[in-house]
Amino acid sequence: MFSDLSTPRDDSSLLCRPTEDLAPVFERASPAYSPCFERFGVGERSFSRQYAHIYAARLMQMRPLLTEKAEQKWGSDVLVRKLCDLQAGEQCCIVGTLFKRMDLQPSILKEISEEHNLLPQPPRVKYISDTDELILEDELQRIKLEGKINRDRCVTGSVIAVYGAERNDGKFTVEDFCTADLPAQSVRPALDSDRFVLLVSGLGLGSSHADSMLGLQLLVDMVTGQLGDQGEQSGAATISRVLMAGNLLSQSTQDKDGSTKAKYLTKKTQAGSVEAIRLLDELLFQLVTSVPVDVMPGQYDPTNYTLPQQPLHRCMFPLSSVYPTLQLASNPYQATVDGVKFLGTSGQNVSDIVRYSSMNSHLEILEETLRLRHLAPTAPDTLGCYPFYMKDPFILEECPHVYFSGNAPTFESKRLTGADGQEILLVTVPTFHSTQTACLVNLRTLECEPISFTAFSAGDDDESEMNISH
Amino acid sequence: MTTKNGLITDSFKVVKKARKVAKRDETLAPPPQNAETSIRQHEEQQKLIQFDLDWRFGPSTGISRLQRWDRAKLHGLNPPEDIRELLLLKQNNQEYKLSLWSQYPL
Amino acid sequence: MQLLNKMDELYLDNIDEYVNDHDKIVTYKWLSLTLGVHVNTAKQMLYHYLDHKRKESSAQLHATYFVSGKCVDNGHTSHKASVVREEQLEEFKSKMSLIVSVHVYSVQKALLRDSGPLYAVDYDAVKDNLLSCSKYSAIRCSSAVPMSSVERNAQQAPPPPVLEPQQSKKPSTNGDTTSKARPAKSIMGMFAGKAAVAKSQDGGKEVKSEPQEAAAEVDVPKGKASAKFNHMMNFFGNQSMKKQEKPVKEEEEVAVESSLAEPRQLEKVQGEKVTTEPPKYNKKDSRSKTKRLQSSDSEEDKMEKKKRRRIKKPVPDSSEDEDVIPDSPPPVAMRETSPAPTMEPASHPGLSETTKIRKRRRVLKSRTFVDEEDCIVTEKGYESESYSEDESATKQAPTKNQAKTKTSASNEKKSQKKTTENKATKQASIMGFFQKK
Repeated sequence: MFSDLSTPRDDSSLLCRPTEDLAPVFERASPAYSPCFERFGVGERSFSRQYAHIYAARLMQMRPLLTEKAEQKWGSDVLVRKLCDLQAGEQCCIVGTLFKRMDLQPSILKEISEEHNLLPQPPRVKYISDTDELILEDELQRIKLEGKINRDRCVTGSVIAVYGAERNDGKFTVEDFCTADLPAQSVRPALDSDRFVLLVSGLGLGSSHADSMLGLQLLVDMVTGQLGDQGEQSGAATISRVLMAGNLLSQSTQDKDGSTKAKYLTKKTQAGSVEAIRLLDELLFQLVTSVPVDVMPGQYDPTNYTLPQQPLHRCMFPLSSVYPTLQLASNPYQATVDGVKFLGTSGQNVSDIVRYSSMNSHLEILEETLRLRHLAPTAPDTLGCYPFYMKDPFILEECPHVYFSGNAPTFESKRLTGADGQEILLVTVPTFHSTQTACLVNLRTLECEPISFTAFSAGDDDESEMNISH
Repeated sequence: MTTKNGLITDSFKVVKKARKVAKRDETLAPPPQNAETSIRQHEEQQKLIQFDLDWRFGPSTGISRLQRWDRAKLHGLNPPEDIRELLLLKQNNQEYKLSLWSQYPL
Repeated sequence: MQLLNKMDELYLDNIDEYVNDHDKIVTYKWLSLTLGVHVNTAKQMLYHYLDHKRKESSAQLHATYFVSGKCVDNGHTSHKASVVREEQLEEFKSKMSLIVSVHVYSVQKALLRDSGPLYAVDYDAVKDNLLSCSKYSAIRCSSAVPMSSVERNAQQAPPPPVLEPQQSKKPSTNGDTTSKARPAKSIMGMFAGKAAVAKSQDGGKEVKSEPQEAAAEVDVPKGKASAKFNHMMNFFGNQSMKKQEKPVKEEEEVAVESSLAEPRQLEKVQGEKVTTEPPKYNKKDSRSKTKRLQSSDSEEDKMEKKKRRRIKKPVPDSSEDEDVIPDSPPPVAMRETSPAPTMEPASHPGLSETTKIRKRRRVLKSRTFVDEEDCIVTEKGYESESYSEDESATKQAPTKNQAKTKTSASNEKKSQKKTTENKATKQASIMGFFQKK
């Protein structure tokens, strides 16, 4: 525990007159660090291709993995068929991409194919319904799935292997299915001391209500070694990295009508994100003078919208980009800190699955994507994505040690042990703006604990008074 | 419905045009060439079209034949080596570079 | 010991002055940055001060404390860091299962309803001392050393340009370039503002003087047709105003600007040997800047081009010098001599208030109108105009600016019409696109 590391020393109370020996300076722990963002780079930026390629590449990449898993699970003599070779009544295994046909899924084609004067489809929390159908596609054909597969949990784009038989009505009855499961993991070196990486997401700068700003300032002050007693400060010195997982700016900084409003109306107005980025630069400046910081973009940040999001541009941070400790990272993020492999996103992939499946827990979905061996199965169907053709960069090639997603409603974490002894820490990093909570990952023990910041507000009085009156 | 019709006629037109262009090229170029080379060219084109139509290597629109070949190789699908050699040989020839669908509007 | 006591009194007096006389909220961070002492020492000073004052039992003081420790909440343990009011301190401490640190966070005279002001104080303190904000903290980071520009360039070598899908495909679809221009501009603006701040930080606080004026000075020479550009400059100005620090860079720029501009104005005001060249030259110059900053106003540009073809030159009174434009800026001392001979005292006592003296002078003005052939014509001619002295000291030829605004006003109207038209034809939604076929 971070708190235990920071236990006070008896002789160092700050509740006394100034003493001369109480101006300690601790050295920041500096672990080995190697970023790995090339994987999520977008090279030539050609948008003339269709998305068929990314599905084709995904299936090409996943088919051998899934065939192997199927043989492990149902015996090496299991019949692996292509859909075109399928014969009715024959027990076999098919590898393919899931497609969930959803009536409620917003579709531009639906909007135009039906006659005009149609009400726009209302935005919903979830787009699943009882009429959804699960379909399995391979390179050539598709078949409807029935049987022992949970329709509502599945999402479009997952590559799975199903076992069962085709019935006379042309539907496939699933008896069992399997996913690609966890990839192999490299060995994590043993560390001799506790070091931490602080994960934080959803700073939400530039929002209309700034009451949460003191919490953020406390976070910065704690990390930079200003707050607390000596013990706390020595503990903070073991925070070797800060990782900001997206949505540094608030949603309210995006004025959607900017592009539709007449130009003369917006001529003298300034984009809301300008002030927020300035604030962010100042915050980052305080941090980078004391600790290495990785900054990932998120859904509301000023970079491209589609995954993979490219790093924010340096010129937006004239103050802090002077320091080598500022690392502008891509989303998804992949890097190795002290031999511990980090992989994660700012949370778009997870919150998209929340909308298109029955699952609600971000942690559960995070685990599910790991089992599918795919970071963002719903891309490009319901999640924006660059039209890759050569390979699908979202397929996990190597098992991370820490797998996280940002902008979750609450902090959750879980240790997962894979079939081949992989050890993974799953973390959903809460939105700081609403929870005032960040989390610390211990690189030595692979444990994670939340760290929260509170300040008093005018409402506190009323609350406590109410408590008394009850 | 109308949009669909429009698209189909569009595509037919394009195909015809493309054929004409090819023919014209042949009629303009041939004199020095003998029949043998044109037959060989035709065979090569047929081979490439067969490659285009092989579904195992994934969709062929929007990317070059060589890119499609490289992708198939990357994923261990063993695309025929002679296709690659042919493509590398005729790298600058647009007729060889793109798949047979390349003239269709996306 | 003696020395220590002396010091004690010194900082106790200091804090007392801040708290009681200036009615400030004194946070440990503010104190540390202001007195230049280690943060922990600042915390102890605050405690000592509080203790000292309480013993004196003089005027009431309020304090907030920082508490951190392990906290167990429905089975989940977490590290909690809080700022609490003094009266809640004990209650708060009792909720913690392990207390890591407690110290005074701030001392102030008034009772704080919420913690917002604490943030504001720290924010201002940090902003004023941005470069030394980590100097007094308890953690040093050996790798956090600013890079030299060479290193930075090396690092920037593969700068990932911000991806903008439609743009890279068809940059001029629908003639709508707004989306492209806007982000670029704001980034530029941001950058400019920041650069100035950074500079002023280097320069320290001694350059603190009339920032508003500085902003205005920069604003005026370039306060040209383009409202957009103007807006960017405002941004620049605001920034410096907020800082209450005069950016050194700006000052220099202004000096150059005005020294460049002054002689030109002089000539014009003298009236006799005016050429049409200077305004033109000047126009081109600033227009190129405008263009660079915003390609979106291409319609305006076009209009201006059209207009320029048909400029009617006023007949120069003396034709001997087409090339009076000074090649190098004359000494800045020239500035003081700017009032020109053709000035007549103003006859509007009502207008001239306080120190402003209204005067009249003859100036070159351009008027733009649409003639019978529907062409936009700019005519230049001399008009007399009133102006105030302090204006003339700083502004370069207000006349020119006015003229420009006039021409631009009509242009702007046109271009606005155009843009709205463009907007209308532009596909509003993907629906429209499909319907067209």
